[in-house]
Amino acid sequence: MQVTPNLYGTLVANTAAGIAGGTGVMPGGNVGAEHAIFEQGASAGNVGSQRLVEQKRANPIAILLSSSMLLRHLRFPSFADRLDQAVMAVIREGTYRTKDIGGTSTTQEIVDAVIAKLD
Amino acid sequence: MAHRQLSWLLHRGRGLASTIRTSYGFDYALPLRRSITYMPRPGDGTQRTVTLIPGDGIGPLVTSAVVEVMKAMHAPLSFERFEVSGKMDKVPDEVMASIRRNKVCLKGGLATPVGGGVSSLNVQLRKELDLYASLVHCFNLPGLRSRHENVDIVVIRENTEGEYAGLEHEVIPGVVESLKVITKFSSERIAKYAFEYAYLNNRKIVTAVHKANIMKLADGLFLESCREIAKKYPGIKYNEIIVDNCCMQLVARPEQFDVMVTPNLYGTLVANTAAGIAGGTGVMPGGNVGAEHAIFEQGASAGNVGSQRLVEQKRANPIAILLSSSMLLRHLRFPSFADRLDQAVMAVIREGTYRTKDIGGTSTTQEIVDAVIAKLD
Repeated sequence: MQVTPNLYGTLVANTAAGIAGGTGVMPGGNVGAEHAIFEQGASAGNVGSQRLVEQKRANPIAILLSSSMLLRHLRFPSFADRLDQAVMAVIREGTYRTKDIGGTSTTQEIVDAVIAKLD
Repeated sequence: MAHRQLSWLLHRGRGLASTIRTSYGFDYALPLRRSITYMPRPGDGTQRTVTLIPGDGIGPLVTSAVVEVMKAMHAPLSFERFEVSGKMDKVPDEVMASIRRNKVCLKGGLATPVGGGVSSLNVQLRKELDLYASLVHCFNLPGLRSRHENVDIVVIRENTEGEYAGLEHEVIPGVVESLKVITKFSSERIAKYAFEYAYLNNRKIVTAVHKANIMKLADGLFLESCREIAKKYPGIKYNEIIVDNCCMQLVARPEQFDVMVTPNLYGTLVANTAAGIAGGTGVMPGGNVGAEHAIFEQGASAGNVGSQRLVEQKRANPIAILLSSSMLLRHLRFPSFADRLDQAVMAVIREGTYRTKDIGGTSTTQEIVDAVIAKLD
């Protein structure tokens, strides 16, 4: 585990995300004493390119895993576990992946795949 | 631009621009693809004195490796040696006078304590001599496997201001403010250095690294300066990248980067990351260059003085400072000696028999030195 000041944290997080699979798949969140905001883990301010929006090929994995953190934060661990295992199963199979992690799928295809894996 | 600075910019083996503009106002044409970077003039080869600061920790070990190799090559250098330690308040006046006189210095790291209000002597030297550019060449050494191939990045880092301005104060107990200073003058200077380096060494892309989305004024000024200078070099592609994305791209696809120009803090981070992916900080050469003086030391992580055990076992990696001393030779306009040293060091790395622990071997520093000397032709 690493605790860092503000700037170093974004640098370390992006570097670590880069070596472990890319910022398209890492979950994360911003947490305070009373409120929390969940978004893509690393490089959260990155809004992607115009082409990605038009072709609807953005990678939803990061924000799906972050929403699982959101469920856990709201104390719904069983829903969080189900979402986690569905997303991990889709990644593990490898059939449905967006371009940034080596595939050709659209966002909707990933969503459908995750929903299919929910038990 | 000063002629000395010009020759420092001409780097080995990368192909050449076809004409060089000198400070005397005329152009002369060089043949392309020669490894020798200029035509020697009569009178070159006179003995030059270099200030030598062995430093702390592994510093004395690796700098003496350089001295030994230089002697074996009969390089026209003599060394003026000064003992300086990171524990001193400031660099002694006689050392500064020596560097000002000799114009060139070779040094090992000076240990800097963390916290405690004592300023780093490494930083002090760079500021006092106005060595405004720190250059680190991170590349794959042939024969040395690393996480990424096709890495060939030159990081040109502003060396005097930015986050290293050293201006901190405690506003009230428990609240500290730290000033990051960015000036148009220094930003333009470093951008000019970066583009001129790229131009003279036939590099294609210059990337400015910044975080201007957050530090809109400071990094914004840096970017503006880079953009202005970029306009004067239409043949070189210029782009910008936010530093956190940059770190991620470095570890994912480093082959996209060529020359990178950065403010002070991002520069050390980018240089160390690039060094790490291409073989480690033990092998990357670099130097600190100003208009009039230059200090050569290990490229990335130069302030790192190694562990006690490394010193006792005499197993520090001298490759980085050997390659940096080759840059020193080139800076002093002895390209043939520089080429001989480079090819000897590369041959030792390529063979792979003699390597220190940080790059996967078991050799001592002395074994590497002997191997390099044996490969000198």
